[in-house]
Amino acid sequence: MDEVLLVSEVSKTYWRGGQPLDVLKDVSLWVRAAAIVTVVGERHEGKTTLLKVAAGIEAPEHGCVLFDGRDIWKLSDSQRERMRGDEIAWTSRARPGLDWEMRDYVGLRLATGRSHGRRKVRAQAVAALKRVGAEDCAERRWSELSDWQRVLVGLACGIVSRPRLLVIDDLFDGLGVPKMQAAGDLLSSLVRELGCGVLMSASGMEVALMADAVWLFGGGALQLMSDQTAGSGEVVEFPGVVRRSHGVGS
Amino acid sequence: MKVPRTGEMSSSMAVLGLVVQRPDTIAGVAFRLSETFPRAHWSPGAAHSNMPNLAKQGLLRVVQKGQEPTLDRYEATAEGIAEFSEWMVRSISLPPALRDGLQARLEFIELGEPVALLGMVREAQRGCRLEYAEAHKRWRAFTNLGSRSEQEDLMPNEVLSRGLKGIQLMDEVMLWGAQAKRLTSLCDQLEGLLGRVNIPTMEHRSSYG
Repeated sequence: MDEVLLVSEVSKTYWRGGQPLDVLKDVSLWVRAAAIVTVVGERHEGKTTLLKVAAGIEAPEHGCVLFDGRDIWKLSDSQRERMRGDEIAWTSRARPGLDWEMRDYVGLRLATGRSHGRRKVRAQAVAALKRVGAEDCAERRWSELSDWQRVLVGLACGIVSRPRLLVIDDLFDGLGVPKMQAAGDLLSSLVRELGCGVLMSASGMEVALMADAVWLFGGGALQLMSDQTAGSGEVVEFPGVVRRSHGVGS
Repeated sequence: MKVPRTGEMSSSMAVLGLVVQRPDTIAGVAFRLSETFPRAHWSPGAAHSNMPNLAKQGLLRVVQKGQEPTLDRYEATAEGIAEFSEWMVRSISLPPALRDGLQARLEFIELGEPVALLGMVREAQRGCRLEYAEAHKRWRAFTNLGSRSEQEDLMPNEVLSRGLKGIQLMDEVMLWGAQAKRLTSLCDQLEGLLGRVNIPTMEHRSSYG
Protein backbone atom coordinates (compact mmCIF):
# COMPACT_ATOMS: atom_id res chain seq x y z
CA MET A 1 0.00 0.00 0.00
CA ASP A 2 1.45 3.36 -1.00
CA GLU A 3 -1.11 5.83 0.26
CA VAL A 4 -0.12 9.45 0.27
CA LEU A 5 -3.22 10.34 2.22
CA LEU A 6 -5.40 8.45 4.66
CA VAL A 7 -8.49 10.04 6.10
CA SER A 8 -9.80 7.88 8.91
CA GLU A 9 -13.20 8.12 10.60
CA VAL A 10 -13.37 11.88 10.43
CA SER A 11 -16.38 13.74 11.82
CA LYS A 12 -17.33 17.38 11.69
CA THR A 13 -20.41 19.23 12.88
CA TYR A 14 -21.49 22.77 12.10
CA TRP A 15 -23.99 24.64 14.20
CA ARG A 16 -26.66 26.52 12.31
CA GLY A 17 -29.39 28.41 14.16
CA GLY A 18 -28.54 26.50 17.34
CA GLN A 19 -29.03 23.16 15.58
CA PRO A 20 -26.21 20.67 14.93
CA LEU A 21 -25.54 19.77 11.31
CA ASP A 22 -23.39 16.66 10.91
CA VAL A 23 -21.47 17.48 7.74
CA LEU A 24 -19.02 14.59 8.01
CA LYS A 25 -19.98 11.35 9.77
CA ASP A 26 -17.07 8.96 10.38
CA VAL A 27 -15.74 9.54 6.89
CA SER A 28 -12.76 7.53 5.66
CA LEU A 29 -10.90 7.39 2.35
CA TRP A 30 -7.44 6.95 0.93
CA VAL A 31 -5.40 8.40 -1.91
CA ARG A 32 -2.52 6.46 -3.39
CA ALA A 33 0.50 7.99 -5.08
CA ALA A 34 -0.03 8.78 -8.77
CA ALA A 35 -3.76 8.11 -8.47
CA ILE A 36 -6.75 10.38 -9.03
CA VAL A 37 -9.52 10.03 -6.47
CA THR A 38 -12.86 11.77 -7.00
CA VAL A 39 -15.55 12.46 -4.42
CA VAL A 40 -18.89 12.99 -6.15
CA GLY A 41 -21.89 14.52 -4.42
CA GLU A 42 -24.49 17.25 -4.53
CA ARG A 43 -23.51 20.86 -3.97
CA HIS A 44 -23.46 22.24 -0.41
CA GLU A 45 -23.43 18.77 1.15
CA GLY A 46 -19.94 19.03 2.67
CA LYS A 47 -17.51 17.89 -0.05
CA THR A 48 -15.44 21.05 0.27
CA THR A 49 -15.33 20.63 4.05
CA LEU A 50 -14.04 17.09 3.58
CA LEU A 51 -11.35 18.30 1.19
CA LYS A 52 -10.36 21.12 3.54
CA VAL A 53 -10.00 18.67 6.40
CA ALA A 54 -7.90 16.39 4.18
CA ALA A 55 -5.71 19.30 3.04
CA GLY A 56 -5.04 20.54 6.56
CA ILE A 57 -7.12 23.69 6.17
CA GLU A 58 -10.04 22.92 8.47
CA ALA A 59 -9.75 20.81 11.62
CA PRO A 60 -12.02 17.79 12.19
CA GLU A 61 -13.69 17.15 15.53
CA HIS A 62 -12.90 13.43 15.47
CA GLY A 63 -10.72 11.11 13.45
CA CYS A 64 -7.35 11.67 11.88
CA VAL A 65 -5.72 12.62 8.62
CA LEU A 66 -2.42 10.99 7.76
CA PHE A 67 -0.20 12.50 5.10
CA ASP A 68 2.78 10.26 4.42
CA GLY A 69 2.08 8.61 7.76
CA ARG A 70 2.08 11.90 9.69
CA ASP A 71 -1.11 12.99 11.42
CA ILE A 72 -1.41 16.49 10.05
CA TRP A 73 -3.79 17.58 12.78
CA LYS A 74 -1.21 16.73 15.46
CA LEU A 75 1.39 19.01 13.88
CA SER A 76 1.91 22.57 15.10
CA ASP A 77 0.25 25.30 13.06
CA SER A 78 3.58 26.32 11.55
CA GLN A 79 4.51 22.72 10.67
CA ARG A 80 1.12 22.21 9.04
CA GLU A 81 1.43 25.52 7.22
CA ARG A 82 4.82 24.47 5.87
CA MET A 83 3.44 21.10 4.79
CA ARG A 84 0.63 22.84 2.94
CA GLY A 85 3.08 25.13 1.24
CA ASP A 86 5.58 22.46 0.22
CA GLU A 87 3.75 19.16 -0.15
CA ILE A 88 0.01 19.69 -0.29
CA ALA A 89 -1.55 22.02 -2.84
CA TRP A 90 -5.13 23.26 -2.87
CA THR A 91 -6.81 24.62 -5.95
CA SER A 92 -10.29 25.53 -7.16
CA ARG A 93 -11.95 27.76 -9.73
CA ALA A 94 -12.57 30.49 -7.16
CA ARG A 95 -11.57 33.93 -8.42
CA PRO A 96 -8.48 35.55 -6.88
CA GLY A 97 -9.11 38.04 -4.10
CA LEU A 98 -7.07 40.68 -5.90
CA ASP A 99 -6.88 41.67 -9.54
CA TRP A 100 -3.62 39.83 -10.23
CA GLU A 101 -1.94 38.98 -13.47
CA MET A 102 -2.08 35.21 -13.68
CA ARG A 103 1.73 34.79 -13.50
CA ASP A 104 1.58 36.49 -10.07
CA TYR A 105 -1.57 34.68 -8.98
CA VAL A 106 -0.13 31.25 -9.88
CA GLY A 107 3.16 32.15 -8.17
CA LEU A 108 1.43 33.30 -5.03
CA ARG A 109 1.83 30.07 -3.11
CA LEU A 110 5.55 30.03 -3.91
CA ALA A 111 5.99 33.56 -2.69
CA THR A 112 3.96 33.31 0.50
CA GLY A 113 6.19 33.09 3.58
CA ARG A 114 9.33 32.54 1.54
CA SER A 115 12.21 34.61 0.34
CA HIS A 116 12.01 33.67 -3.35
CA GLY A 117 12.69 36.63 -5.59
CA ARG A 118 9.82 37.92 -7.66
CA ARG A 119 11.59 37.10 -10.92
CA LYS A 120 12.18 33.49 -9.89
CA VAL A 121 8.60 33.07 -8.70
CA ARG A 122 7.25 34.49 -11.94
CA ALA A 123 9.50 32.20 -13.98
CA GLN A 124 8.19 29.14 -12.12
CA ALA A 125 4.61 30.35 -12.47
CA VAL A 126 5.02 30.89 -16.20
CA ALA A 127 6.59 27.42 -16.49
CA ALA A 128 3.56 25.93 -14.72
CA LEU A 129 1.20 27.87 -17.00
CA LYS A 130 3.16 26.65 -20.02
CA ARG A 131 3.01 23.06 -18.78
CA VAL A 132 -0.78 23.14 -18.74
CA GLY A 133 -0.96 24.93 -22.09
CA ALA A 134 -1.96 28.33 -20.70
CA GLU A 135 1.17 30.40 -21.27
CA ASP A 136 -0.91 32.96 -23.13
CA CYS A 137 -2.75 33.65 -19.87
CA ALA A 138 0.39 34.72 -17.98
CA GLU A 139 -0.13 38.46 -18.36
CA ARG A 140 -3.90 38.39 -18.33
CA ARG A 141 -6.27 38.94 -15.43
CA TRP A 142 -9.03 36.65 -14.19
CA SER A 143 -11.82 38.67 -15.78
CA GLU A 144 -10.15 38.25 -19.19
CA LEU A 145 -10.12 34.44 -19.07
CA SER A 146 -12.58 31.93 -20.47
CA ASP A 147 -13.95 29.16 -18.23
CA TRP A 148 -11.53 26.70 -19.79
CA GLN A 149 -8.57 29.02 -19.23
CA ARG A 150 -9.62 29.38 -15.60
CA VAL A 151 -9.50 25.59 -15.30
CA LEU A 152 -5.99 25.58 -16.76
CA VAL A 153 -4.89 28.37 -14.43
CA GLY A 154 -6.36 26.39 -11.54
CA LEU A 155 -4.25 23.39 -12.55
CA ALA A 156 -1.16 25.59 -12.86
CA CYS A 157 -1.79 26.88 -9.32
CA GLY A 158 -1.98 23.27 -8.19
CA ILE A 159 1.26 22.04 -9.73
CA VAL A 160 3.49 25.11 -9.43
CA SER A 161 5.03 23.87 -6.17
CA ARG A 162 5.25 20.26 -7.44
CA PRO A 163 3.17 18.91 -4.53
CA ARG A 164 2.90 15.29 -3.42
CA LEU A 165 -0.84 15.72 -2.86
CA LEU A 166 -3.02 17.91 -5.04
CA VAL A 167 -6.47 18.74 -3.66
CA ILE A 168 -8.88 20.08 -6.29
CA ASP A 169 -12.23 21.51 -5.31
CA ASP A 170 -14.93 21.56 -8.02
CA LEU A 171 -12.53 22.65 -10.76
CA PHE A 172 -13.94 20.53 -13.58
CA ASP A 173 -17.71 20.75 -13.05
CA GLY A 174 -19.83 21.97 -15.93
CA LEU A 175 -17.14 21.62 -18.60
CA GLY A 176 -19.02 19.21 -20.83
CA VAL A 177 -17.67 15.84 -21.87
CA PRO A 178 -15.14 16.86 -24.61
CA LYS A 179 -13.42 19.49 -22.43
CA MET A 180 -13.64 17.20 -19.44
CA GLN A 181 -11.82 14.50 -21.40
CA ALA A 182 -9.13 16.99 -22.35
CA ALA A 183 -8.86 18.02 -18.70
CA GLY A 184 -8.66 14.35 -17.71
CA ASP A 185 -5.85 13.67 -20.17
CA LEU A 186 -3.95 16.71 -18.92
CA LEU A 187 -4.45 15.85 -15.26
CA SER A 188 -3.40 12.23 -15.86
CA SER A 189 -0.19 13.35 -17.58
CA LEU A 190 0.57 15.76 -14.72
CA VAL A 191 -0.01 13.03 -12.17
CA ARG A 192 2.32 10.65 -14.01
CA GLU A 193 4.96 13.36 -14.26
CA LEU A 194 4.79 14.50 -10.63
CA GLY A 195 3.87 11.15 -9.09
CA CYS A 196 1.46 13.01 -6.83
CA GLY A 197 -1.87 11.80 -5.51
CA VAL A 198 -4.98 13.79 -6.41
CA LEU A 199 -8.10 14.19 -4.29
CA MET A 200 -10.85 16.12 -6.02
CA SER A 201 -14.51 16.88 -5.61
CA ALA A 202 -17.20 17.13 -8.26
CA SER A 203 -20.96 17.43 -8.53
CA GLY A 204 -21.27 15.65 -11.86
CA MET A 205 -20.59 11.97 -12.44
CA GLU A 206 -18.82 12.75 -15.73
CA VAL A 207 -15.88 14.20 -13.81
CA ALA A 208 -15.41 10.82 -12.14
CA LEU A 209 -14.61 9.27 -15.53
CA MET A 210 -11.06 10.59 -15.26
CA ALA A 211 -10.59 9.10 -11.79
CA ASP A 212 -8.87 5.91 -10.70
CA ALA A 213 -11.11 5.71 -7.64
CA VAL A 214 -14.59 7.14 -7.10
CA TRP A 215 -16.43 7.85 -3.86
CA LEU A 216 -20.05 8.91 -3.58
CA PHE A 217 -20.77 11.48 -0.88
CA GLY A 218 -24.23 12.04 0.57
CA GLY A 219 -25.78 12.69 3.94
CA GLY A 220 -22.34 13.27 5.46
CA ALA A 221 -21.17 9.75 4.56
CA LEU A 222 -18.88 8.34 1.90
CA GLN A 223 -19.39 5.17 -0.07
CA LEU A 224 -16.78 3.61 -2.30
CA MET A 225 -18.03 3.24 -5.87
CA SER A 226 -14.91 2.00 -7.59
CA ASP A 227 -11.22 1.66 -6.81
CA GLN A 228 -9.10 0.78 -9.83
CA THR A 229 -5.93 1.56 -7.88
CA ALA A 230 -6.20 -1.69 -5.92
CA GLY A 231 -3.86 -4.33 -7.32
CA SER A 232 -5.46 -7.38 -8.87
CA GLY A 233 -6.50 -9.82 -6.22
CA GLU A 234 -5.94 -7.30 -3.47
CA VAL A 235 -8.71 -7.41 -0.93
CA VAL A 236 -9.56 -3.96 0.34
CA GLU A 237 -10.70 -4.22 3.91
CA PHE A 238 -11.71 -0.89 5.20
CA PRO A 239 -11.19 0.81 7.55
CA GLY A 240 -9.42 -2.13 9.18
CA VAL A 241 -6.57 -1.90 6.68
CA VAL A 242 -6.02 1.69 7.71
CA ARG A 243 -5.74 0.67 11.31
CA ARG A 244 -3.39 -2.23 10.64
CA SER A 245 -1.07 -0.38 8.29
CA HIS A 246 -0.79 2.82 10.19
CA GLY A 247 -1.82 2.09 13.75
CA VAL A 248 -4.78 4.40 13.52
CA GLY A 249 -7.69 4.11 15.90
CA SER A 250 -8.25 1.52 18.58
CA MET B 1 -41.68 -8.23 -34.94
CA LYS B 2 -43.38 -6.90 -31.82
CA VAL B 3 -41.38 -3.95 -30.55
CA PRO B 4 -41.73 -2.98 -26.88
CA ARG B 5 -42.60 0.68 -26.31
CA THR B 6 -40.43 0.84 -23.21
CA GLY B 7 -37.37 2.18 -25.01
CA GLU B 8 -35.57 -0.99 -23.96
CA MET B 9 -34.03 -3.44 -26.39
CA SER B 10 -35.65 -6.88 -26.66
CA SER B 11 -33.47 -9.97 -26.88
CA SER B 12 -34.86 -10.69 -30.37
CA MET B 13 -33.82 -7.24 -31.60
CA ALA B 14 -30.37 -7.69 -30.06
CA VAL B 15 -30.04 -11.05 -31.82
CA LEU B 16 -31.22 -9.56 -35.11
CA GLY B 17 -28.70 -6.72 -34.73
CA LEU B 18 -25.82 -9.13 -34.10
CA VAL B 19 -26.68 -11.14 -37.23
CA VAL B 20 -27.03 -7.93 -39.26
CA GLN B 21 -23.56 -7.06 -37.97
CA ARG B 22 -22.26 -10.32 -39.40
CA PRO B 23 -23.65 -13.79 -40.30
CA ASP B 24 -23.21 -16.26 -37.48
CA THR B 25 -24.34 -19.54 -35.94
CA ILE B 26 -26.76 -19.81 -33.01
CA ALA B 27 -23.85 -20.82 -30.78
CA GLY B 28 -21.81 -17.86 -32.02
CA VAL B 29 -24.63 -15.37 -31.48
CA ALA B 30 -25.32 -16.79 -27.99
CA PHE B 31 -21.69 -16.09 -27.08
CA ARG B 32 -21.68 -12.61 -28.63
CA LEU B 33 -24.97 -11.75 -26.94
CA SER B 34 -23.52 -12.36 -23.49
CA GLU B 35 -20.25 -10.63 -24.39
CA THR B 36 -21.82 -7.56 -25.95
CA PHE B 37 -24.62 -7.01 -23.45
CA PRO B 38 -23.33 -8.54 -20.21
CA ARG B 39 -25.81 -6.66 -18.00
CA ALA B 40 -28.96 -7.27 -20.04
CA HIS B 41 -29.68 -10.52 -18.13
CA TRP B 42 -31.43 -12.23 -21.01
CA SER B 43 -32.08 -15.94 -20.85
CA PRO B 44 -29.04 -18.06 -21.81
CA GLY B 45 -31.24 -19.63 -24.49
CA ALA B 46 -32.24 -16.27 -26.03
CA ALA B 47 -30.29 -16.87 -29.24
CA HIS B 48 -31.51 -20.48 -29.50
CA SER B 49 -35.16 -19.48 -29.30
CA ASN B 50 -35.00 -16.20 -31.22
CA MET B 51 -33.01 -17.17 -34.30
CA PRO B 52 -35.40 -19.88 -35.61
CA ASN B 53 -38.32 -17.53 -34.80
CA LEU B 54 -36.70 -14.66 -36.69
CA ALA B 55 -36.15 -17.04 -39.60
CA LYS B 56 -39.85 -18.01 -39.53
CA GLN B 57 -40.70 -14.28 -39.74
CA GLY B 58 -38.47 -13.97 -42.81
CA LEU B 59 -35.97 -11.68 -41.02
CA LEU B 60 -33.14 -14.25 -41.01
CA ARG B 61 -32.34 -17.22 -43.23
CA VAL B 62 -30.12 -20.25 -42.91
CA VAL B 63 -27.24 -20.02 -45.38
CA GLN B 64 -25.31 -23.07 -44.29
CA LYS B 65 -26.56 -26.16 -42.44
CA GLY B 66 -24.40 -27.31 -39.55
CA GLN B 67 -23.89 -30.71 -37.97
CA GLU B 68 -26.47 -29.73 -35.41
CA PRO B 69 -29.05 -26.90 -35.29
CA THR B 70 -26.90 -24.62 -33.10
CA LEU B 71 -24.22 -24.73 -35.82
CA ASP B 72 -26.58 -23.62 -38.60
CA ARG B 73 -25.23 -20.36 -40.02
CA TYR B 74 -27.75 -17.54 -40.40
CA GLU B 75 -27.68 -14.23 -42.21
CA ALA B 76 -30.11 -11.33 -42.17
CA THR B 77 -32.56 -11.01 -45.07
CA ALA B 78 -33.32 -7.67 -46.71
CA GLU B 79 -36.49 -7.56 -44.57
CA GLY B 80 -34.40 -8.22 -41.45
CA ILE B 81 -31.99 -5.44 -42.29
CA ALA B 82 -34.91 -3.07 -42.95
CA GLU B 83 -36.59 -4.08 -39.67
CA PHE B 84 -33.39 -3.44 -37.75
CA SER B 85 -32.73 -0.13 -39.51
CA GLU B 86 -36.23 1.01 -38.65
CA TRP B 87 -35.72 0.06 -35.01
CA MET B 88 -32.49 2.02 -34.88
CA VAL B 89 -34.42 5.18 -35.74
CA ARG B 90 -37.68 4.40 -34.00
CA SER B 91 -36.26 3.41 -30.65
CA ILE B 92 -34.51 6.69 -30.06
CA SER B 93 -37.56 8.72 -31.01
CA LEU B 94 -39.58 7.30 -28.09
CA PRO B 95 -39.06 8.37 -24.49
CA PRO B 96 -38.60 5.30 -22.30
CA ALA B 97 -41.68 4.11 -20.44
CA LEU B 98 -41.45 4.82 -16.72
CA ARG B 99 -42.14 1.50 -15.01
CA ASP B 100 -39.64 1.95 -12.23
CA GLY B 101 -40.31 -0.41 -9.33
CA LEU B 102 -39.14 2.03 -6.68
CA GLN B 103 -41.34 4.80 -8.05
CA ALA B 104 -44.33 2.46 -7.79
CA ARG B 105 -43.42 1.38 -4.26
CA LEU B 106 -43.12 5.00 -3.18
CA GLU B 107 -46.64 5.53 -4.48
CA PHE B 108 -47.95 2.57 -2.44
CA ILE B 109 -45.65 2.96 0.55
CA GLU B 110 -48.45 3.65 3.02
CA LEU B 111 -49.79 0.16 2.30
CA GLY B 112 -46.39 -1.33 3.14
CA GLU B 113 -43.49 -0.91 5.49
CA PRO B 114 -41.33 2.23 5.07
CA VAL B 115 -38.32 0.75 6.85
CA ALA B 116 -38.41 -2.29 4.58
CA LEU B 117 -38.52 0.02 1.58
CA LEU B 118 -35.49 1.87 2.89
CA GLY B 119 -33.66 -1.45 3.20
CA MET B 120 -34.64 -2.26 -0.36
CA VAL B 121 -33.32 1.07 -1.61
CA ARG B 122 -30.06 0.51 0.25
CA GLU B 123 -29.72 -2.92 -1.32
CA ALA B 124 -30.46 -1.56 -4.79
CA GLN B 125 -27.90 1.21 -4.23
CA ARG B 126 -25.29 -1.37 -3.23
CA GLY B 127 -26.03 -3.32 -6.40
CA CYS B 128 -25.67 -0.19 -8.52
CA ARG B 129 -22.33 0.60 -6.92
CA LEU B 130 -21.06 -2.88 -7.80
CA GLU B 131 -22.24 -2.44 -11.38
CA TYR B 132 -20.65 1.00 -11.46
CA ALA B 133 -17.32 -0.47 -10.30
CA GLU B 134 -17.43 -3.06 -13.09
CA ALA B 135 -18.39 -0.50 -15.74
CA HIS B 136 -15.72 1.91 -14.48
CA LYS B 137 -13.15 -0.90 -14.65
CA ARG B 138 -14.10 -1.63 -18.28
CA TRP B 139 -13.93 2.09 -19.10
CA ARG B 140 -10.52 2.48 -17.46
CA ALA B 141 -9.20 -0.61 -19.27
CA PHE B 142 -10.46 0.83 -22.55
CA THR B 143 -8.89 4.24 -21.99
CA ASN B 144 -5.61 2.61 -20.99
CA LEU B 145 -5.51 0.61 -24.23
CA GLY B 146 -4.07 3.38 -26.33
CA SER B 147 -3.15 7.00 -25.99
CA ARG B 148 -4.71 9.65 -28.20
CA SER B 149 -1.46 10.00 -30.17
CA GLU B 150 -1.47 6.28 -30.97
CA GLN B 151 -5.04 6.64 -32.20
CA GLU B 152 -3.91 9.24 -34.69
CA ASP B 153 -2.34 6.42 -36.72
CA LEU B 154 -5.66 4.60 -37.05
CA MET B 155 -7.79 4.48 -40.20
CA PRO B 156 -10.99 6.58 -40.08
CA ASN B 157 -13.23 3.51 -39.75
CA GLU B 158 -11.08 2.28 -36.84
CA VAL B 159 -11.29 5.71 -35.20
CA LEU B 160 -15.07 5.63 -35.60
CA SER B 161 -15.35 2.10 -34.26
CA ARG B 162 -13.12 2.81 -31.26
CA GLY B 163 -14.80 6.14 -30.62
CA LEU B 164 -18.27 4.57 -30.59
CA LYS B 165 -17.10 1.85 -28.21
CA GLY B 166 -15.68 4.53 -25.91
CA ILE B 167 -18.94 6.46 -25.95
CA GLN B 168 -20.92 3.30 -25.16
CA LEU B 169 -18.62 2.38 -22.25
CA MET B 170 -18.69 5.92 -20.90
CA ASP B 171 -22.47 6.02 -21.14
CA GLU B 172 -22.68 2.77 -19.18
CA VAL B 173 -20.54 4.22 -16.38
CA MET B 174 -22.68 7.34 -16.34
CA LEU B 175 -25.92 5.33 -16.23
CA TRP B 176 -24.84 3.30 -13.20
CA GLY B 177 -23.37 6.39 -11.55
CA ALA B 178 -26.55 8.39 -12.05
CA GLN B 179 -28.63 5.53 -10.69
CA ALA B 180 -26.38 5.12 -7.63
CA LYS B 181 -26.51 8.87 -7.01
CA ARG B 182 -30.27 8.84 -7.32
CA LEU B 183 -30.62 5.95 -4.87
CA THR B 184 -28.24 7.60 -2.41
CA SER B 185 -30.38 10.71 -2.49
CA LEU B 186 -33.51 8.57 -2.03
CA CYS B 187 -31.91 6.85 0.99
CA ASP B 188 -31.01 10.21 2.54
CA GLN B 189 -34.51 11.56 2.05
CA LEU B 190 -36.20 8.43 3.43
CA GLU B 191 -33.85 8.31 6.42
CA GLY B 192 -34.47 11.99 7.10
CA LEU B 193 -38.23 11.58 6.88
CA LEU B 194 -38.33 8.47 9.07
CA GLY B 195 -36.03 10.20 11.56
CA ARG B 196 -38.39 13.17 11.77
CA VAL B 197 -41.30 10.90 12.67
CA ASN B 198 -39.13 8.88 15.09
CA ILE B 199 -39.12 5.61 13.18
CA PRO B 200 -35.75 3.91 13.83
CA THR B 201 -33.91 2.94 10.66
CA MET B 202 -31.19 0.89 12.38
CA GLU B 203 -28.36 1.50 9.99
CA HIS B 204 -25.59 4.04 9.96
CA ARG B 205 -24.11 3.61 6.54
CA SER B 206 -20.58 2.25 6.54
CA SER B 207 -17.96 3.76 4.29
CA TYR B 208 -17.33 0.61 2.37
CA GLY B 209 -20.25 -1.78 2.60
